[in-house]
Amino acid sequence: MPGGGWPATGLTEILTEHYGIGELSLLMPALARLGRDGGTGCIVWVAPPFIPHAPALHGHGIGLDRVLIVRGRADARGNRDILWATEQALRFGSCGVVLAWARSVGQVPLRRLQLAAEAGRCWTVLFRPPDASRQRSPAVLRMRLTAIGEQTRIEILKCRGGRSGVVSVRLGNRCQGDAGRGREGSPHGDDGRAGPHRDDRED
Amino acid sequence: MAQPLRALYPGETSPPPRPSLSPGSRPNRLWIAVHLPEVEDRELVSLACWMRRITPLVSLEPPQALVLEVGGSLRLWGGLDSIEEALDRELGRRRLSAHLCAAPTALAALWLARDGRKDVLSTKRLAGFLGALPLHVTGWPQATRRLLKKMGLGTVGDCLRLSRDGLVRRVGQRCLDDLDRSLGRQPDLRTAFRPDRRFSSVVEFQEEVTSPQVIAEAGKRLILRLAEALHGHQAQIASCRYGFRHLRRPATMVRISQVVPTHESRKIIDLFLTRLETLSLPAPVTALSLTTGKITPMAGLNAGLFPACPDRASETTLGELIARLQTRFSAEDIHGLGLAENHRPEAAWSEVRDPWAGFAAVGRGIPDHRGGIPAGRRPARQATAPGYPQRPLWLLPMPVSVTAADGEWGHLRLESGPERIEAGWWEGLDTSRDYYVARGSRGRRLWVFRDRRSGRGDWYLHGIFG
Repeated sequence: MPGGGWPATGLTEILTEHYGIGELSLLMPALARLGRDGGTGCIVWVAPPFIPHAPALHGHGIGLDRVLIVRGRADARGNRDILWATEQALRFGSCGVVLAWARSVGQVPLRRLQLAAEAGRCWTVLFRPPDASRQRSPAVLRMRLTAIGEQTRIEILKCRGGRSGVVSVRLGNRCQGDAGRGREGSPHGDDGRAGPHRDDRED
Repeated sequence: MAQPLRALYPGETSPPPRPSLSPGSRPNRLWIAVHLPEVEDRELVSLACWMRRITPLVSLEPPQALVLEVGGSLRLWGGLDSIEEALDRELGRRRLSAHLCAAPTALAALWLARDGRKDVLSTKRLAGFLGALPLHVTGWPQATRRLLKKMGLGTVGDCLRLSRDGLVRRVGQRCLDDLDRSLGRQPDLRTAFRPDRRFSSVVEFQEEVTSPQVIAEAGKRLILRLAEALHGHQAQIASCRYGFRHLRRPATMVRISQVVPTHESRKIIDLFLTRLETLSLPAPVTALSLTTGKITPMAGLNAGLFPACPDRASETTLGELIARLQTRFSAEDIHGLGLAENHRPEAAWSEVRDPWAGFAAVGRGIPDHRGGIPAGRRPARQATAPGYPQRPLWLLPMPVSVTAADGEWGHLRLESGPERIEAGWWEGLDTSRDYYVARGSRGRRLWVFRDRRSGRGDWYLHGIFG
C-alpha cells in the first residue's frame, strides 16, 4: 500500500459478510500505535455489531480511556442515525479514528463521510456488507474480506495512489498479518513482512 | 471572641463599639407587610423577586402575604412613603389588589395588613393597635380560635390580658410566642427569600407556527436571553428544557444536556438546532419556552503552562461531541469501556458512564476527586500478563446456545482449550465453564464454552475473534 500502512485520513471501507474472520485484528496494531504515539484522539465505535471486549482491546495495547462507544439501533432510522453520528464524530476533529458499522449507505452520505473525514483529518473505517462492492465509492481504500479455510483473503478493490490486489493472510494469535505497521510506516509498501502467503495480482 | 489589640488614641478610653452586620441588632427595624387576598403562588414568588430590589430581607408568608424589612433601605429610598409608593405602582402594574401596612415587627405588620389597618410606626403604641385586632388575623388554627372564642376571647388584646401561664396551658406555646414576636419581646427569626437560580423565559407566537426556521429563530432569541442572564450571574448551565406549547394539547417537552456545563450561547444554540432537526412535533406550536436546569457558578479553566496544551481542548470537544450525539441517542447508548477484576468474561468489563471525565483524567495521569484513577479504568493485571489466554475482540451480550444456532455457526472444530473459568459463586452467579477456541463455518474463529453446571454439558457461543 502507498505509505506502507493504512491511510491516515479519509474513508476506508471494509466489506465483509461475517464477523470473526479477522476484520478487527487487522486494525488492532494501527489503533494501538495511534494511542501510543502521543495521539490525543479517541477511538469512536459507532454501532458495533457486538460488544467490544475490553480485556481483549487492552491486551492489544489499546488505551481503554480513549474508547467511546455509541450503540446503534437496527431500524431504518437507526441506520440514518449511525451515519449522522459518524459524520458528527468526524467533523469534531478530536477523534483519531471512527469505526462505524452501517448496513446501507447511499451515494450522497458516503461522499459526505469522505469529505468529513478529510476535513476532520480523521481516519474512518466503515464496515459494510459485501454487496456494497457494486456501488461506486469515493473511499481512499476499499477492501473485501473473505475467509478461505483458515486464511483471510484480503481483496483490495480500490486504493488511491496504489494498485489493487489480493493478499491472503493467516490472522491468528495476536495478528501476524500485514497492514499493521501503523499509519506512517516504512515508505515501501511491501517489505516481505506480510502474511505467509501472498499472490499479488497486477492490474 | 478575642478583640484585636490596637493602640488607643489620646483621650480614648475604650475601643469604640464595632458596627454589627447582623440585622437583629439594627436600631430601628421597620417591616412592611403586603397582604394580597387573591394571588397565585407563582405571582407571589415573582413579586418577591421584584421586591429584592428594595431590601434583601423579603420573607414569604404563604398563602397570601409577604413581609419585607425596610428599616435599612429608608435612606436609600428617601423614606417610607416613597417605598410604599413604589410598591403601589408595581402592584398596580401587575393588576394586584393588595393592602400594605408598616410596623416595627413583621408579625404586627402582617396582622395589621390582614385587617386592613393603617401604619403603626411607634413600638409603644403597638400593643394598643394590635389589641383591637380580631383573632382571625393571627392565622392560628381554627380549633384554637374556636376554643378562645368559647372562653370569651375575641381579640388579640383579650389574649394579651390573659396570664401567660394560662394561655400556654390552654392553647400552647406557639400562640404565646406569636404574641411576643408581634410585640417585639422575642426576636422574630425569618429566612430571607432567595430566588430560585433558574432561568425561565417564553417566546409566544402571534399564530400557530409550523416552520422550523421560525421556531429556530425563537429558540435563538431565548438562548441569547439566557446567555445574558448567565453572563450577569457569572454562571453556567448543564441542561436546558424546551417546551413547545400547542393549542389544546399538552406541550412537547425536550431536555437537552450539555454534558460539559457551559455559558456560551453558541454551544447551546448549536445543540438546540441539532435537536430541532430530528424533532417531530405533533401539532403547530403556539409558544416556545426555555427553562434551565441547575445554574452553577462558572468554573474557570486553568490555562496550560505551555501554549500548546491539547488535552484540555480535546476533553472539552469530546464532551461537546457526546452532547451532540445525545440529541439523537439516549445517554445510555453512549459509554466508554473499563476493565473489572473479574474472571467471568461478561463481568470483566464495564460501561463507563462519564467517558469524557475519565478521558481527561487518565489521559494525563491525573487522579480524580476520589484520589485515584477512576474506578473501572484501572488496568486489570490479568489481561496484560504474558501467557494469559487469548480473549476475543467481540463479546456477545448473552451467550448463545450453539446447538440451537447450529445452522448459523456451522460445525465447530475445536482449536485450542480448554480454559476453565470457575467463579462467581460468592455473588450467587455460580459459573463453571470450559472455554475453547473453535473454528466455525466460513472460517470464523469463535469462543465457545461448555457449561459444566448444566448436567448435559451444553455448548454456548460467547465471543467472536473479530
